[in-house]
Parts: sequence; structure tokens; C-alpha cells
Amino acid sequence: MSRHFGRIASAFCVVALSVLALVHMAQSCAEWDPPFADYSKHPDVPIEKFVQGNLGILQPSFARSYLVVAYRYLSGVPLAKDEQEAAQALWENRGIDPVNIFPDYYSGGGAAEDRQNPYMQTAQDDADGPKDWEAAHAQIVSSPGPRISQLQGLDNYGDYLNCSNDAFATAAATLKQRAATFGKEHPAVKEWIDAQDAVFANCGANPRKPVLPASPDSALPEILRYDREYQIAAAYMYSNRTAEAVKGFQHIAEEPNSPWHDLAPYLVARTMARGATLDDPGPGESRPGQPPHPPFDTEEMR
Amino acid sequence: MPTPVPRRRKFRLLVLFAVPVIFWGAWFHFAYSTVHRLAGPRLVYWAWERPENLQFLDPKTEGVAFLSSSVELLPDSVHIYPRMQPLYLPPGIQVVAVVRIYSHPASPAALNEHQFSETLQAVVNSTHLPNVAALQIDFDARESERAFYSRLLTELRRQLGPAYPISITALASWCIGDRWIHSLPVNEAVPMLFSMGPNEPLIRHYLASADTFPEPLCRGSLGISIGERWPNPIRSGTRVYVFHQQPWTQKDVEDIRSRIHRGM
Repeated sequence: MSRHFGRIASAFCVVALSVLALVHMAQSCAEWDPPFADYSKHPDVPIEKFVQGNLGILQPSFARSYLVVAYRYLSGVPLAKDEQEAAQALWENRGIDPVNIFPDYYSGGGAAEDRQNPYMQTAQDDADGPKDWEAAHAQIVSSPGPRISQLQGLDNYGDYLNCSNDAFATAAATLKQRAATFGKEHPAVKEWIDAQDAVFANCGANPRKPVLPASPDSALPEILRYDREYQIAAAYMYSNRTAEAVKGFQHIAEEPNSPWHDLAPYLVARTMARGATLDDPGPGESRPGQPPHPPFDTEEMR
Repeated sequence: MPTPVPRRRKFRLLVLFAVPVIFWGAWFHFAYSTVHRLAGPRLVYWAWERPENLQFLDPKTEGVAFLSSSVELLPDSVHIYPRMQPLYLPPGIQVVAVVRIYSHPASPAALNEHQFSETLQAVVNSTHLPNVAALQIDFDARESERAFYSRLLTELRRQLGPAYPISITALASWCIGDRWIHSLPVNEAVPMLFSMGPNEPLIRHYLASADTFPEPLCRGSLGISIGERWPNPIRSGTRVYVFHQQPWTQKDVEDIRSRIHRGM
């Protein structure tokens, strides 16, 4: 009897220990998160319906961009198709997953529409400005222009778009006009290209080593002298020499005969805004004579 | 004079101790033996494309994996988005550059040579950023894209050398049944235990019963999000990457530290 009992006990121990070896820590069945989605910062998805006027339940805690759209509809001024695309592009560029914007994203319609949205970053980046400039450049000078990076890097792991597509498109259009006026072989037109290459060299180059076009020669035709003043101011702007750029554009704004007269005041403001943005010393630090930079306001960023 | 122990009894005693030991050993080997994770701090914060000030982090115990660029694979081209938002870090912290690669299911990429070289270059460029000590590739590879990513990672390993730490993010399913990542030349695969989609209940059920992954590359780390359920417990040796949908605040970080310290 006791012998059988010992065998049974031994076998039981072997089986029990073996089974226990496979048992992990017991799991409770409690759920941690509330079983509903919190849409306190944005409307319900897909957001495409919201931008079309299907507002759902509005909350004052929505991000301002959503509240602006809601305000338009509630004021009886609905968004036009063009404005809807702009709003969608804003949200997508801010990192909202397209699958949360377009209800049919995965079935094809959303992605196709996405590509045709003229406000999308991709569409803007694929615009023809740089290509136009390369083509115009190649028509005058056989050698290719210098390789240009439109982006400038910062020392906080971020980049920014220094030279936009529109800058290249404007340069290309202006070059075509000057070549038509003076002829492709005119030395002043070739000088114009050299000066513009210098301007664009600042787009992605070390801003501590600005590349400046030569000062305008008094023998240059008047319009090309005005162009050169504009090119020099632009070179200062792209190399973050804010004070010199502002001074240059202000000078152009005061010159009624300059073809850049109307654009110059805008560029003064744009240069100042860019200067203020790039002069950000980082949280907790300060420039001489200025108060410390305030810490990030997380709510503001949201 | 001592009574000699019968051989059969000796054998029974041996079995009595050997069987549980074998089971325990097998379980321990399965669960703990092969740990693939990047060297460095246990707690890593993902800093995504938004302004981030993480100067309050502790460089001795915490690291940062920041989105350095995004690569969009279009049908016939590649679009590269650099980081456009500032990131402030304490000196000496471990910095991992993350490159996100994605495509659109409705308009699949051709995955041609041009796209391969552009993508590779963008990834390599991220390793040249200041203080970057490791690289992480974040992708959602569909089956048709897996050969592309395998080749990309192989070439990346060749260019960066055998010692350079390379991490990838992985869908949880890649760590359980669909283990196509097994032979990739990477140091770790971070199972993403958030935003898991329709498979979430199955994966959470699996983790509740197994608490580790069959795929060895996935055993040393995991990715969690501040707004979703975490696996419980989190092992003390696991490298934990934490995502936040919004910019990090000191309060968020302190909350994470507290929960990780408690093993949950």
C-alpha cells in the first residue's frame, strides 16, 4: 500500500512540477483604457466628412484649424472645394494619417485624390520651379549650373525650406525675359546667370560663408542693375544675413523704377519673420540683452 | 552497514528531478536566452515630427529615437521629407536616428533601382547627423515589399559595417507567426504593441499567455504608446521604446519612469 502510494506521489510530483514550469504569471482580465475613443482635439474620423460640412459634435477643445472650418460652416460660409483641399493638405502635412482623412483611402480613391491636391506638400515639392530654372539656365550656358539643395539644416536636427520652388520659377521667368530683351549672347545676361547661381548657392550652403553676387557695374543696363540689387538682397536673405537683406529690400522698395519695387516690401517682412524664427536660441537660452527663451508651451503646440 | 539503493529507485529519483529541470531549462531557454537589443539605456523616447524639448531626460538611463526623415515610396519615384521641427536634447544622451519608409496601398511603388538607391542614400545620410549612435528603420512592409526591404537592410549593413547598431520596428505578427524578419541583418526588431489594428485582441491574448515572442530578434525590446495598454509585466532587461502622439512634457516622462520602474 505504502509502496504504491510512494509511486503515485512521485508521479504526481513529476507531473505537477512539469506543469507548473509552464505556468506563467497569472494575468488579470481588467482593461486599462476606457473602451471609447477620445476625440477632444479633433473631430471624428474620417476628417474628409468634417471638412465637407458634416461637423458632428463640436468641442471647444478641438485644435484651432478644426474650429476655423466649423466656424465657416456655422457662419453660413461653407468651404469651397479649393478650400477643402487646402484644409486637408494642412492636416496631412501636420502628420494626420491619410487613412483618418479619406474614408476610401485604402480602396484607391483617397490616394489618387491625395496626389491631385495642389496644396499637398508632395505636389508642391514636385512643382516645376527647379526644373524650369535648369532648363532656362541650359538655354543660355552650356555648362550645367551648380547643384542646389533647397533645404538648409539647423543644429537642432531640423531642416527648413530655404529656397522655395517659386524662387526658381521666378528666376527662370526673369532670365527668359532678359534673354529676350538683350539676346542670349549678351555678356550682361551671362553675368546675370553667374549672379543668380551665386544667389542659389546660399540655399543649402554654410550660412557662415555667404556667396554674394558682384556689385552692379554702372555700365550695366538699368534693369539689370535693379536685378543685381535684388539678387544681392536675396543672397543675404538665403544666407541669413537678415539686417543686410532687409536693408537691401527696403532700398529696392524705395526705387519706383525697379521691377522688384512692388515685391520688395513683402520680402522685407518675410526676411524679418525668417530672421526671428531662425534666431530662436532654444528653450532656456537667451541672446545677449534678451530675456531667456520661454519653455515650450505644450498646449500651444497642440 | 548502509543498505544499497536499488537501481530502479535511483532511476526514479533521477527522473523525478530531471524532468522538471528539463522543462524549466527549455522554458528558460525559450524565454530568456537569446536577447537581441541595442546596447544602451533601457528607456527610449520616440521624438516624432513635432517640436520636442527633451532636455530634462537623464542621459544615463534614457535615450531618444527621433524621426530624422521620412521616405515616401511613390509609384515611380521617391519623396524624401527631412525633419522640419526642432529637437533639443541633453548632452551625452544616446541618439537613434529613425527613418520612416512608407508607400500607399492604392498606388504601390515600382521598387525599382532608382527608388532603392534614393532610399538607401536617405537612410545612410541619417547616420551622419550629429551624435547619432544607431539607426532605426520604421516601415510597414507588405508582402510584395519584403524583398525590397531585405535587400535594403543587407546593403545598409554592408555600407555601415557589422558593428553599426541597426534596429527595425516590427509588426507584432512578424514576431509570432509571420517571421520573415528572422534572417535580416539587424540587431533588434522592436515589436510595436500599439495601433495594432484588427489583430490587436489576438496579439494581446498571445502575449497574456506567452509573454514573449518566438522570434529571437523581437525578444529584447518592445514599442509601446503612452495612450494604449502596455504588456504587463515588462521585463527588467527589455529595451522599451515609448511613443507619444503629442510633444513630450516632463510630466509625461515622469509618469513613464514611474510605470516602468513598477514593471508595468
